[in-house]
Amino acid sequence: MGDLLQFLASYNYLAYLAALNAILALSVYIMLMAGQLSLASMGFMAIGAYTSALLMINGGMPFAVGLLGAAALAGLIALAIGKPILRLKGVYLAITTVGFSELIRFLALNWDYLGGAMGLNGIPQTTRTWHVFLYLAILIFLFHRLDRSRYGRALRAIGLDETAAKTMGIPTARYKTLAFAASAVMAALAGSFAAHYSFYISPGEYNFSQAVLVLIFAVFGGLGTHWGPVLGAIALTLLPEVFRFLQDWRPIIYGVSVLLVVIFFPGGLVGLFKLMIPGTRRKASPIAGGKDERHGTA
Amino acid sequence: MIAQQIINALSQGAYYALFASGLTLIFGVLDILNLAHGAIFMWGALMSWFLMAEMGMGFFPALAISVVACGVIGILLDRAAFKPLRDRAAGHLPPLVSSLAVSFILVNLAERFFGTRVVRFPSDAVPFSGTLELGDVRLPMLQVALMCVSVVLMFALWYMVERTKVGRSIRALQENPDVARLMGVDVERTIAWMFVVASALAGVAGVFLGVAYNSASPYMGHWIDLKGFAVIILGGMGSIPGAVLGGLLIAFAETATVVYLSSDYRDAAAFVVLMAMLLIKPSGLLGSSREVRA
Amino acid sequence: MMYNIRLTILIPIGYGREDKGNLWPALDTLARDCPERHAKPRVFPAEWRSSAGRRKTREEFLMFTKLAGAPARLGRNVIGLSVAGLIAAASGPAAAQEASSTIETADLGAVYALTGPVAIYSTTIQNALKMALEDVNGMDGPKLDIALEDDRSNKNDAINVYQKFIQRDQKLLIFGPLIGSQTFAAAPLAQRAGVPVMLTSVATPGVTDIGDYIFRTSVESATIIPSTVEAAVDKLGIETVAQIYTNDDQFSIGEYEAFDGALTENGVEILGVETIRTGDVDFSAQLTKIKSLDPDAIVISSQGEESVGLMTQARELGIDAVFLGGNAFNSSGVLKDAGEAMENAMSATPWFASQENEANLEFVKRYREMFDADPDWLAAQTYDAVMIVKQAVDAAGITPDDGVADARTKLRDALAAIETYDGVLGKIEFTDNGDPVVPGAVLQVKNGKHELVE
Repeated sequence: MGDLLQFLASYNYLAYLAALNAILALSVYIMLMAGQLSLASMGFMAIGAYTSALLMINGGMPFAVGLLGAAALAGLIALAIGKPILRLKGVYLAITTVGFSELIRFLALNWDYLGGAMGLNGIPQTTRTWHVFLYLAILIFLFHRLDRSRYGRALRAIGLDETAAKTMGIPTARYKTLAFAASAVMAALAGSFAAHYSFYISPGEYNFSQAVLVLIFAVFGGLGTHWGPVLGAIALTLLPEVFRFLQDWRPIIYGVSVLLVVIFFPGGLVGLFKLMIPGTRRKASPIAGGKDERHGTA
Repeated sequence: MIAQQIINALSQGAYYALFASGLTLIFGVLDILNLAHGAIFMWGALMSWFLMAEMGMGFFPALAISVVACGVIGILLDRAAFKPLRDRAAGHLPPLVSSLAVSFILVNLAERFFGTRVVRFPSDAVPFSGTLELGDVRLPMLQVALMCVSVVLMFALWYMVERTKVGRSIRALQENPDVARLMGVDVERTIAWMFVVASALAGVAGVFLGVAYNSASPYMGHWIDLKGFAVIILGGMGSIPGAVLGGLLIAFAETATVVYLSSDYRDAAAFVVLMAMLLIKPSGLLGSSREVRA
Repeated sequence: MMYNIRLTILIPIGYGREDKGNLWPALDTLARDCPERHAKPRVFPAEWRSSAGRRKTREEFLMFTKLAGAPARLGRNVIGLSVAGLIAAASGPAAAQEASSTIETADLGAVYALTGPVAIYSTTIQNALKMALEDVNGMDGPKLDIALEDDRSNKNDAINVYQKFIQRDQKLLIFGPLIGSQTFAAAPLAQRAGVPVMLTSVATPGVTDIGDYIFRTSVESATIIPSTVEAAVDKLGIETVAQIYTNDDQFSIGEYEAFDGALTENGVEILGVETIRTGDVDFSAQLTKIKSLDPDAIVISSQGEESVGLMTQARELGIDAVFLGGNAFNSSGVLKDAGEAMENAMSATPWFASQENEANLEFVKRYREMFDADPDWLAAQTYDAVMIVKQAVDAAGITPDDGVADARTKLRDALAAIETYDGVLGKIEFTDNGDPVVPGAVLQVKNGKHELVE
């Protein structure tokens, strides 16, 4: 047992990071279920991180209150901006949400109360690794339920053809806004857990590159089921460590793996697994495999 | 001082326009955001540096070779990252990710070939040295050259799209790919040409930006990508004059922010303008009536 | 003291008797070198049984490896010692009964950005590490072994490497990472685990406040910047300045704030403050604004790349104010790239190449011989750091019997006990916080060369 414990201790952070990335990938995935490409997760992650950190440092609140505050604030902001923003489609939505994240980052950078570029130091370290695992497990369970619920099917329907979904009587705008709020809360909680894990946060962590990395996790894993983003995040988080011996060739291996999977396996990693296990037929992903996608969402 | 700031904004706008015109061309036809555009821009700058500093070439041969090479990278990019996905109608998300993967690869290759430091161009290889002085206003000759090149290239591009056979094919593809195919447009050839032109433009922008600011590094493409997207949305996706107008508008907004507000807020300017535009007229300044809202 | 240890050596599966590779010769040597009574290697290939022929249980095996102080490895079906661990297990107790009771080698780790955007700064650090190791391992006392790992210029990788060093590799001390934001993220792990950290490049304020296990030889700009301002007022008669700094970079902000305080203290009027961002290349709008203020000097607090762009573009815009700057100005690369634009520019430095102290003369000469390039202040700081760690390892008196936690604590205490050090940087005095204070010097660019301002 001693060995196993030591192994876990050495890779504790890696495991934590993989779980955290999986959560972020899921927060992008819930929007993708509805065919919406939102890159706002970094903005909401920052909101969550700063909110709970400040509630604890300056407000002297317990961790639970910090988490609740983070989730509530992110959810409210998402509900408020969701309606106008979600009228936009495809890459318009993507770039607007990038703009939103950049403005949040910009606010953190220029508002002295938030520590500016120096960030916030000395955040109480209240997150334990199992918190993040538990959170991920709960999310996976919720997604499992969502898949079988009316709400989940409605999201898929919107993802396949929004106009048709609307004519079928699905309140698309409301459902999309709710999904956006859910995505925001997921990311904000991830942000607070991360902030209270790492002692220190700064605006630079929540940039555009991070946002697209999270998107890559989801697409790499496959968008057919919620296992895709989870697997994709875990695989791509571990990849650079596994290939540590390759030294400075690592970024290329990363790029090449992503390219190969996206090009050759439409179902992502999950699709690849399903191909290898006979008897499980791949179900077409409404986002990645949609036929008339180009004209539907551009 | 105001005259100088206007000149500053104009030359900054020229870069944005040059960079964004390629992006908007690809978006107009394929409905995809090419996230490797910034990486190609970076390769243009670093390659021309390599040819001038390490191979002792003059500016013009180095420019020509780099731009052609960028065109070739453009075709390779299309073959590796876009064509396979186009063939199976994969939607707009997978190409975004595959072009990002190519961008990782290009940046890492550049790190290996050129090193990670910021490189400086040999001063004797660069023409147009000196500064134009008009009263209080000072304008480096290189910036003048760039503005002229931008104007010429934008006109050439506009001419190509509006008046030539390739341009007609491109516009036909923009309107409706299926009908264009039926009408006898060689779709793959047209798309390949488009990538050559777009990537060559990125290369020109890269070479000039590198030389004018005397700085190039594997990471120079990171931020301009984001600006480029703001520019093309602002101008209207797919519109070349829109890219020029969008580039100028963002450059002026940024300069005005520095002059009248504070340089702290400069980076927010582009996105504030962009979001305001999207909420008022989502199709952009000169955008087509393409559907952007639900 | 005599040890009477009955040493049992367990062979991991895969090493059969017929395998005449590295293992068996090593075992032969071991058997020969260990006096019969003290250690007796026994070989149990494939599976291990105690002398009574009973199969050992996992628990017994782990207990044994724990006693032997050797790392154990968990295989699929079998637990075995790696060859390295095996030799360590055998030689540890055997060496322990010799006269010298300290360890032979101190295992240290180093993590720097070998790839990625800030990798440019790590080249001279790597060189300095290599050179310092060569020098240190030619001395008496315990040898140093430094494992160097890459963090791709990013925070999460730095944390991963830290965790690997702390937990799995059981390093006694960690050098690096390169920059402040990585340090704020990773160093608390070491502080919590009780592992000393030696920073050789982080000039950001506040990193040593993380705790009492954090040390550095990198000089915080705030301690030397006031001398730049004093010199500028004295020698150049500066009365008004405009400031420009990178406001998303912690190091630059630290310098900006130090300048701000020193300027006010010296009665210099600050006409305006402008900001830029990391990676920007066009500064014309900010500089045009500064031009209209017509200051005597422009104070630049930025990294090297941006500093070069700022200075050359200012000259293109017809600004003739003199430049005052921070650490970036001391880099020979910046001086070369900025060229004429940098003439008369002033900056303070913790170290400069033509410093006349003996350690530095030797250092610069050897560095040039080994790498055919000039060292910079990061190399000087790194070289001194390794030397200081060596001195601490010598003084700590770590024995092989010490657990890794004890060894780390001893090393930390030895480092904390070092109050001054005379090295390449000159005479360094350490504050109670672990921050170095050096004499430093003010440099001015004359005819394209750094010259000392007396």
